[in-house]
Amino acid sequence: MAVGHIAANRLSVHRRAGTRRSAGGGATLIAAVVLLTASLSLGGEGLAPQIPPLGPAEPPAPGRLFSVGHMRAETSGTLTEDWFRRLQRFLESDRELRKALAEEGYSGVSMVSAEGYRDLVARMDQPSELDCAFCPAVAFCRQTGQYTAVFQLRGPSDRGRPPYIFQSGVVIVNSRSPLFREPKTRDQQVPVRLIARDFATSPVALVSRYSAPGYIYPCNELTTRSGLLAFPNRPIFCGSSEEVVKMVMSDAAGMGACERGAIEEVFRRYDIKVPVEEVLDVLLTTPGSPTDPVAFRSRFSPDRSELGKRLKDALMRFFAANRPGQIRLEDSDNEAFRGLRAACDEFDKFPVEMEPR
Amino acid sequence: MRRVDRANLAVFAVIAVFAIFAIGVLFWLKGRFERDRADTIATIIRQLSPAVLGLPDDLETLNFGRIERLYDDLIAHNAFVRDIVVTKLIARRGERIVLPFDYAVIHSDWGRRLARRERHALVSEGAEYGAVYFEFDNSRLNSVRLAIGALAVLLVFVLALVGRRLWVQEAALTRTTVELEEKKRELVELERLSLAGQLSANIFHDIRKPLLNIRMDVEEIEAAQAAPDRTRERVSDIRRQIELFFNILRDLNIERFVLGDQAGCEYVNVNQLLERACALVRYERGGVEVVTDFAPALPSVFAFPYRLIQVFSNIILNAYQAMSGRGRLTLSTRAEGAWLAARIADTGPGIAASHLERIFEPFFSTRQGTGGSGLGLYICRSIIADLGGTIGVTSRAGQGTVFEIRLPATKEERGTRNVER
Repeated sequence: MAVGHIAANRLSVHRRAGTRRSAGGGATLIAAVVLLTASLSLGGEGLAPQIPPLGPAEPPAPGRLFSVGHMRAETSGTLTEDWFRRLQRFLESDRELRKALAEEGYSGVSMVSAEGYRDLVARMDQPSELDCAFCPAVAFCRQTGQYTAVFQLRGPSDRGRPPYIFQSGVVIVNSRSPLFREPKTRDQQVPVRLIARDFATSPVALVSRYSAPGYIYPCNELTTRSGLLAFPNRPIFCGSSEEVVKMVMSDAAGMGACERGAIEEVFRRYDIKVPVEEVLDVLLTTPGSPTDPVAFRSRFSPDRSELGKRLKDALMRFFAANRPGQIRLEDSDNEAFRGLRAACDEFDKFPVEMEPR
Repeated sequence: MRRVDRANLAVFAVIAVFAIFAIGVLFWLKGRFERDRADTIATIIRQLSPAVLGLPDDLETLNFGRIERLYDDLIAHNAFVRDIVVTKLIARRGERIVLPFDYAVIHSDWGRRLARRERHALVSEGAEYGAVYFEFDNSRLNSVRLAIGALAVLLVFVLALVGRRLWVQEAALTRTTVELEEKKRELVELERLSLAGQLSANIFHDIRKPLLNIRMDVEEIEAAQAAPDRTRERVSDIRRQIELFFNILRDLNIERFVLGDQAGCEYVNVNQLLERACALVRYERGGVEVVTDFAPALPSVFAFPYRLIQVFSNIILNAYQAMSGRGRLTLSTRAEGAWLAARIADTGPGIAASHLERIFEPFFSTRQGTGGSGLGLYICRSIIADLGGTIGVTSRAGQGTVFEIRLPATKEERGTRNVER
């Protein structure tokens, strides 16, 4: 289960396309604007912390707030703004944590709602911006700050064991697609070239540009395995895997890429009695990708920091008492994201005019 | 109209007024519901704007979660729309159901289902970008429609009942009127027969004398066989008595009197009719002095002569009986423009003022139990009214009574009637 996939909004900044070269500069510019705006507009007791100007890491100033970043949840996300506010109150009320925070020079906890993927990555890249982040897996792999994955979120359809919890991605079509129930090969998959051709030419419902199962892995897999440049020419970014499933089922789009678990989740939530295989056909299963992490700034890693340890305990207690949907916290580490990081690097090598950052 | 009928009609009228009022209120309510329903439809269409559904080329605006929340808000709080199905027009793909997103999956007959719903196109700047298929909750409207229908049926039922009752009453009234006319004719006939009976008694009284004289003469002839001169004288007397007998019969002309209506109308001279009426009832005259003051050139009247004789004789008979053999009876006539007036005045005791205004009513009589039926003057007025005339009476206690009969004068022209009025 990916927090980013659930919570990601579909503001235009997400959809904005740009060249790979210019995107890096664009991200820096945006980050600078965001930081400048925030520094001008926020007071000491605002929701967002005081953001220092870009520069080398500095020790926390006395009276600073411990910042927990997350993607703003506009859509039907499981981790809602209200849930994060409750988390903030819980963390601030935890005596041990408050003591540990005080020892590190923090006077409280603040929740920082990032406007989108780019904003979140930019904030994570800043040395003193965020101390902890609930971030999409791809954002964790893309950020350059010093973070350690402490937890991964596990949804009901996610697989694996700590410290590696992963989810499978699928490319699906509905019953109106010419590829529906196409004769399959021995591994029960439709010939990849057929899928790649349709994937590149027809309207495809995708989760977001920053979703591993909903964009990066399908593009990588289809391009690598088919020998074609399988990047959607007409992408429809839906914001979440559930939206992708709905888009395909309603035939607004004939093909889609999303988390496998979203299909069962949609059928379960809407109590659809029709067998899945009569409605949707899974054409391709992409490699497992790690679920979204909860990352701590590396200096607050629980094995090195008392604050990190207290924060980890507090988060576990809060999740136990305030479980959002069926999501659980599982221990994790940075090794779990090695494969995804490699996939992102591979994705970056394709000569396309779009890139996820 | 009977009291119970009036009460029933009042109840029906109240029910009808209530039903009309209630129907008016229900029509107002129906109009309000229809306006509210139209507002609900407009609100739903407004909410499903291009910003929510996206234009045909825009699929990224489409967000199923947002539309589902919108659906919950729109449908949960209105009483007129039970369900909606929303479709989006997609470029190069056509119309696709986006709410509920699984509608086409769940319902294999979704096309037929949608065809049963009311379609409202979603249009932006003249271009269609989707549609809403409404399934309306018509329970409120149907309740009002049902109530209007029921009240209308009640109203029609009440009107039918009232109409039927009025029709029955009208038929009964007509039947009663016909029966009354028949009774009136019978009464006229009876009165005439009654008068004829009295007349017959008088005839018998009158002819008894000559017959007795004849019998006496015949007996004297038998006793004086030997006296031829005396016999001749007696036979001559018998002849005179027989002449008198025939004169009496001629004057009476009782056959025509009894025939009444069967005798046709003709131009009559009222002076002559007064004389004949007077002669008809002379048996009650006694010592009454009869004075006539007839206009010499009186115009004719087109009438049944013996019905007029019936009127005149009835009044004269009453005058004789009132005067009890003493006093004076004055018969006079005169022409008054297009009218002819005949007066019969007596010097009897007069009629009490309290009786005067009722003497033409049927069965009103001051001589109940002594032979008076109380129908004589009532019939007189009916006969005069049938002839287009009027009858009036003036009387003063101790000074006598005057009846005045006014009839339309006519001009005789080649046997046709020309009533001058």
